[in-house]
Amino acid sequence: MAKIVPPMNFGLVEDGFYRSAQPSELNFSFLEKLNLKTIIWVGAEEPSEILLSFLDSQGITLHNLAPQVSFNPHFPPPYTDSGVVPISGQYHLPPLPPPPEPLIIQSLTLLLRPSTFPTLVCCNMGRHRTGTVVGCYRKLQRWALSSILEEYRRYAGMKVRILNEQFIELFDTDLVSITAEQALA
Amino acid sequence: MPSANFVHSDDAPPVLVPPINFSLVVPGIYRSGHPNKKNFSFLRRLNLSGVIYLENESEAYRSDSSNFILDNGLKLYRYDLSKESNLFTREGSSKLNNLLEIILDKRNYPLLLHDDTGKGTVSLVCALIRRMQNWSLTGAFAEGDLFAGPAGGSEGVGLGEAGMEFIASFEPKKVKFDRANKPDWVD
Repeated sequence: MAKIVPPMNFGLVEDGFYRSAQPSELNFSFLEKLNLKTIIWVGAEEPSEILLSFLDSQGITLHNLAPQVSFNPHFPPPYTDSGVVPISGQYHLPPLPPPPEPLIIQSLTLLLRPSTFPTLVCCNMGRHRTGTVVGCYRKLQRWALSSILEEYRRYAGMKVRILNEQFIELFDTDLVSITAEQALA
Repeated sequence: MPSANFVHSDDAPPVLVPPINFSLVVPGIYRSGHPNKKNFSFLRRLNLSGVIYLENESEAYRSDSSNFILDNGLKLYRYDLSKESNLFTREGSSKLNNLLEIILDKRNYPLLLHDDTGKGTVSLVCALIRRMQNWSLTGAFAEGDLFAGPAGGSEGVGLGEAGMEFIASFEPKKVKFDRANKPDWVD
């Protein structure tokens, strides 16, 4: 039997709630086994065409929360050399801002609806934006901040973004509301 | 009168503290480092039915955790697989087979699988679970690395060479178990 290949930074958040980087063609047979109902895309850029056509063929609903215009003020960097984007680390860029708050609130609202599951939350690398969504979700579950950050850092690796951690710490869980029907459904 | 400032409010809900390196592996199996008493209110919410400890065969189970086990009527299983090279011996492989028999019986779920740090032995057993799920080897190793941290763990407690070799040569087809009670994650 052919091996199945998980997407990068794949993990289980809960039963029926997965996280990962943007799946590529290699990961499609793996994804089929998850019986996903929805995908919540929180990346800064649009998901790839091939992923979109896969979701279409599988009848998986895409909640595309990617902003049409990048919220990232450093992308593309102002000092690109004839359109060539510098390799990260080549210049001293200011720290990237955390993901926009509406994006987090929209994803959490989806994640409080039983009809969303089984679902996969993903962004380009599955580290920062996905990590911030999961971090705020853990906050709703009243996890201790140290435990939330342990999980965030597990996926962020060497590239922990302090502003994202700050965002999780300061995030006001009252911004997300749960209705009685949602809780009972 | 400062005492008024220290009134305990019932409104502030208690925070939950999962054990270190806690995560869901497959529905019904969780992994972590060694739990302590700060984790008990969290663990109670998992409605566990058993705990598997993968280290320190010769020592008694920590007393606070063992009280937790008793108070909640859980089953404690102990299989010390921390010495990776022992997996290649007959004694080691029979120990592993007994462990896999428990993991592959859904009547024992939900289970918490833990070692001391949540980085080494537990990663090995989880990688074997991934092999049984037919994951690519790189995918199974990458998951272990997430928990061990950069460079195989700052304390050097990630998967060792022998463990990685064992995972690579592990043959899921040869594992014998009771198919009547097999969990959904295995084919």
